[in-house]
Amino acid sequence: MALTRNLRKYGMFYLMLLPGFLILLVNNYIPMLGVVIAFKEMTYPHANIIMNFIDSKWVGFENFKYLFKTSDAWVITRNTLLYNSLFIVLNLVIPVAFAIMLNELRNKYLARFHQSIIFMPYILSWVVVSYLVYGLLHDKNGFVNTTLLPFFGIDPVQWYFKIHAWPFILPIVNTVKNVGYYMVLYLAAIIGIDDEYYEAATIDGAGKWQQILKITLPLLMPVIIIMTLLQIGQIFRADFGLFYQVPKESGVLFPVTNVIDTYVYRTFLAMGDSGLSSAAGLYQSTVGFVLVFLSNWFVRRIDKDSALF
Amino acid sequence: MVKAKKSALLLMVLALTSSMALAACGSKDDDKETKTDTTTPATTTTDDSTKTDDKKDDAAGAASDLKPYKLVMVYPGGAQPDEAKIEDAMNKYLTEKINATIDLQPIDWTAWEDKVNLMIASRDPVDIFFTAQWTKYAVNVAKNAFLDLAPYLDKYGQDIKTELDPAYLEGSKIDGKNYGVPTNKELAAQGGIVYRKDWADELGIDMSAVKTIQDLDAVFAKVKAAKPEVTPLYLLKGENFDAHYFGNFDALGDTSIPGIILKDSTETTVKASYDTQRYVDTLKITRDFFNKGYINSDAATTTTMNTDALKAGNVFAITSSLKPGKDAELAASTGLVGKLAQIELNEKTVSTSETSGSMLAISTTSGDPDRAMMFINLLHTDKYLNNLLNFGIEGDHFNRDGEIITPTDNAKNYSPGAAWMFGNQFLNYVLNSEAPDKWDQFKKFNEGPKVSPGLGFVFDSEPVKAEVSAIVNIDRQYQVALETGSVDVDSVLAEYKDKLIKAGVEKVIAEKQKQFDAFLASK
Repeated sequence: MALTRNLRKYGMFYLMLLPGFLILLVNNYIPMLGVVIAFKEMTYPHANIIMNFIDSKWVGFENFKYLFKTSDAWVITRNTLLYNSLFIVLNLVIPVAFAIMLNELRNKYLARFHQSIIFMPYILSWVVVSYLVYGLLHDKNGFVNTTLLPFFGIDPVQWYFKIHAWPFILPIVNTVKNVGYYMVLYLAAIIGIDDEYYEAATIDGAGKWQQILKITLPLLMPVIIIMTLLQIGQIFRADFGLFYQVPKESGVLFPVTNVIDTYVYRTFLAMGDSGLSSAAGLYQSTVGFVLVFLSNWFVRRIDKDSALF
Repeated sequence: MVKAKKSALLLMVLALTSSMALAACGSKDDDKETKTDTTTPATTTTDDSTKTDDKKDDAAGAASDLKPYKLVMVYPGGAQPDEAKIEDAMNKYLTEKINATIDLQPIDWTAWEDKVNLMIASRDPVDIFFTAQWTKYAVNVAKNAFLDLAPYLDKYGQDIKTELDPAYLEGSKIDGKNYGVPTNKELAAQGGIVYRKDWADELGIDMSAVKTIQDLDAVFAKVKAAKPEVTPLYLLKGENFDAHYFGNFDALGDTSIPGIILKDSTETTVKASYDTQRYVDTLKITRDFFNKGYINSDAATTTTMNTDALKAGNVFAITSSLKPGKDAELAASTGLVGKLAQIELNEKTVSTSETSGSMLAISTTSGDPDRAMMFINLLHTDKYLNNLLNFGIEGDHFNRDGEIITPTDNAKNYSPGAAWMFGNQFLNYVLNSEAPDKWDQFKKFNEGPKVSPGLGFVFDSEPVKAEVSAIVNIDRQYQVALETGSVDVDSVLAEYKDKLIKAGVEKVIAEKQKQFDAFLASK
């Protein structure tokens, strides 16, 4: 009874929900059944993937072993966590700053222009970005070594062997690529803030700086918290393109560029064993899941309304 | 409370619908499976009945009994601009012969292993895969990616069995079964360099004095002094002085798994490469060359294949596995006819990597393995088809005079340089730039190589899978950098060794030794 009334009343909304729900179901929920691969040794006696599923041997936690077997386990976990923590901070501070600055620009044409330019790198694929970086850093023909460093009278550097440079290069590249996306997001939130707050503040004699601190930032907080929470959920998942494509597979750099995703991918490429890769994926997801709950719990304690759920 | 109930309900609905959707998928696929199962024997029997007469000249009659089928063949190599043209010509011919058409899918060399792994794991509908000892043949067999060919060879591969040296099929077996049809080509292997003869002559360098890698030092020094814009030696991952074909290292199976013996020795103790004197010495020479600026400085990171670098025209020498006329073959595919020469720098050997060094396997995803075998059989016996695939269309890509062919201007649009991958190389026409007696030279080359103690043995890595998975990552970190001379040998090799030991390399080698000893005892 209640259901039919509900349907009559909100039917249109359910209908609007349907496409999104279906996509979620097909792309996120059905593949979840694939977690069994993590506990199997996959073989391919059949042309049909489901039969292969059923016929493959159960191996328990055997597939998880290699993740902890290597002395690199610590390195890849550390790299993944540190880089991602840094990225969360950078993806918060810089885009918010840019969004506020763009919002304050009087000339709207110029604002649009800057916005487009800053957004541009986001739509480039990592492969393209990796070659742009290669163009800058190539030891013989790169811009940095042929033009920039000689200008300052510094000797050329073999960038792809310079282990200490990459903890800086990677965050810079990542920020340049992603700043536009987050900036647009925050900009949209800022534009949504009611002008009356600012008018009232101006009448009360608040300067620009005070308006930003006392109005824009506090009202932006819910968006910031949601974005950060979402990113914390992904903290165990490194941006594969960044860490795999940009350092050009330079083995020397592995101590600072190898993350869980690239480690797993390389293992898969060499072994072709989907059980091993799935095991790593499951491990990452589980940790990510726990982290989201923890951080949400944390946010809830501080500010109940801002929590995700 | 109410809210919780509602979401629980939603969750249940969700679980239910997804399981239903899945069940639907499953049953549909099952149907398909059984259907193909029942149809295959049917076509088989019709073929058998016509087989006796199709053998001679009534090929068209046999072809019309078969349903049209599109074969997909995947092999390493750069895409060729005229590929579609060749496919058209092949389709015309194949339709007559076996009522099939073909889709050639070359994959770039540098992406080869990665792509094939993905294709196999995602069950892409492929009929024929190129495979080889050095590119995960044993691993893919263990994963059931390839079909056991025995029934198909008996039925449609009779010509292969008669024409191919039995050593090939025997030497490429895994657990007594054939999963790939080896290409009929040179049986022995040798490593060395291919270099720009025109420049050596121009600079007056006596290359006949080069007998070892060390002798190359003086040569490269001269080249570097006279032509500063030229890279004297172009190395990269897998193509360097410590490559298995150069060092005569026999990994007894997959080359990415540690533990080697020397092909040119009788020693049967499996050692880690860092414990093998020749490997370490060669690393040091390579490092010396790198420091002297002979080697491309991006060797550790480049993804440009050495033959492409040679083609670009600013490289003096590359390392290569050699056979008679490799220089001329390479010259033709890089557009450097008459400008290349080769020097052998190690001893001629034969090991499992040669008997199974180039094979065509039928994928377990093939919709019609019978047809795939018919095609492979044709590659082994049909002169027209084989040459069409390797050299293009007569009159368009080459002109022919008896057995000798001359590439036309259009040859650059189709020169895959992959003759050693497809069927029977002895069917190939000889290029005008090659020795006319090429195939006699091949036969001579096949005589008298040193036989590796490991011939016929393939290591099964399953018992040490966890260790091997950990080691491949370490290898990726150190191997290329070391083997191209990009990093200091003494300090880095020690670090590499240390990490390998921690990851359990000794266990892998012990397992390899155990299996190898059992193999030797059974011989």
